[in-house]
Parts: sequence; structure tokens; C-alpha cells
Amino acid sequence: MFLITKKPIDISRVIEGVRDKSSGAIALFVGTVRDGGKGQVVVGMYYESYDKMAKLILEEIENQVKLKWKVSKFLVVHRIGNLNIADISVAVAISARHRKEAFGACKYTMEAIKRKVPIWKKEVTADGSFWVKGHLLGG
Amino acid sequence: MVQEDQLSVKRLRVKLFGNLREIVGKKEIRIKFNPPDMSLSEVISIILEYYPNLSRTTVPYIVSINQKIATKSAKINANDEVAFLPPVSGG
Repeated sequence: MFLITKKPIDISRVIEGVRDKSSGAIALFVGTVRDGGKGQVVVGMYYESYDKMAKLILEEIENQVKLKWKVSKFLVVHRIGNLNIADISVAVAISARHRKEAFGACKYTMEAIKRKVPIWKKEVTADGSFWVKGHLLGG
Repeated sequence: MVQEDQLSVKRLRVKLFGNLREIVGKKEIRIKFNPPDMSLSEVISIILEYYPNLSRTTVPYIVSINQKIATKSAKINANDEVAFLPPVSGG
């Protein structure tokens, strides 16, 4: 499942979202806004998304994950809008019977989000705002 | 019998994101749609003509039709949703 939200991400709710009786492991990745880029002091980050396409691509990623690893539950939450330093921007939580599957699937999902999902971020610095250079889709 | 929607001018929705949205100054533009066989490259040419800032930009982008990455030779229908997508940077 994939959610896009303008509200702060509650990690305990994310974990509850994937907790499962038959799973002995939950791998969780949490992405947060850091205070520096390339020599710039970052004071905040703005995120925007093409929701409809992002949901379709996350469905594809979830399907790929389930072909590669035996996982129980899959949840990705991405925040959009204006975020402050240290705010949580993304959470990936995956439950599985064993940790190996959960770790593998979680890492794969996060890397795929970076390269494939239409979400954009803009660093807010004292000198102005700059779109972060990313990955061209399909490249 | 002529249906009502054939009498009205159809307009295609084109969405813009990230720095391309800022360059154009709009989240969405609508262009007059000329059926039946308009290609994506024709749609792109019309938009670049109306928005010279977009044609001058060095920001790379791809274009999608109905949330799927499309080739320039793809044909467009009036109800399609076209989007200009600069490099993504989620996470």
C-alpha cells in the first residue's frame, strides 16, 4: 500500500500498518530532511508529487518486491508539502517471516522510490530555493 | 445525429511538475485539441511555441500519457492526461 500525505508521518502507525501474526520481522526505513546539501545550509524542503502516477508506480514496485521476496505486508508513506529540518519525508515498512526478506525488500523499495516515483523536492536555503537534481524517469 | 461533445472544442489537459511548473508558471495548461490523429510530438511543439521559457530550458524531461511514459510518436486522445516530468527526487 502507498500513501501520500501532507501531514506528519507517525512511525508507530506505519509499523502497526505492517504488523502481522506470521511475520517475525519488520524492516523500516525512515528518510528525514537534512540540513545541508552541496555546501549550502538547508533550512527546509518542499515536496510535490504526481499522485496518480506515483500510486501506479508504487503498485508496480510492490508487485516486483513480492515476486523477489516472500513478504507479508508492504507500506510506503511519503509526505509532501513544506517540511522542516529533521522532519520525516518518507517511511518504508515491510514485514516478512524472516529478517533477510524484510531487509532486502525494504532496501530495494527505497532505491526504486528514488529512481522511479514522480516526486520532486526543492531545497530551501538562505540564498533561495533549488530543485534537487534527480533521476530522469525511464533513464 | 451529431452528439453535443462533437460540437464543442475539445481541450487537452497537460500537467507540469517541479521546475517545469515554475518555468511555465502553471500547474496545468489546456490546449485546443485537433482530432483524430494528433501525436505527442505535435502537442509538445504547440506547448513549446506558447511557452518559450519551456523551449529554452536546459532541464531534461520526459512526457507521460495517462501516467505512462510515452514516445513522441504516440497518438493522443482528447480525454488523455499528458504530463511533463523533470528528473524525480523523492525520498
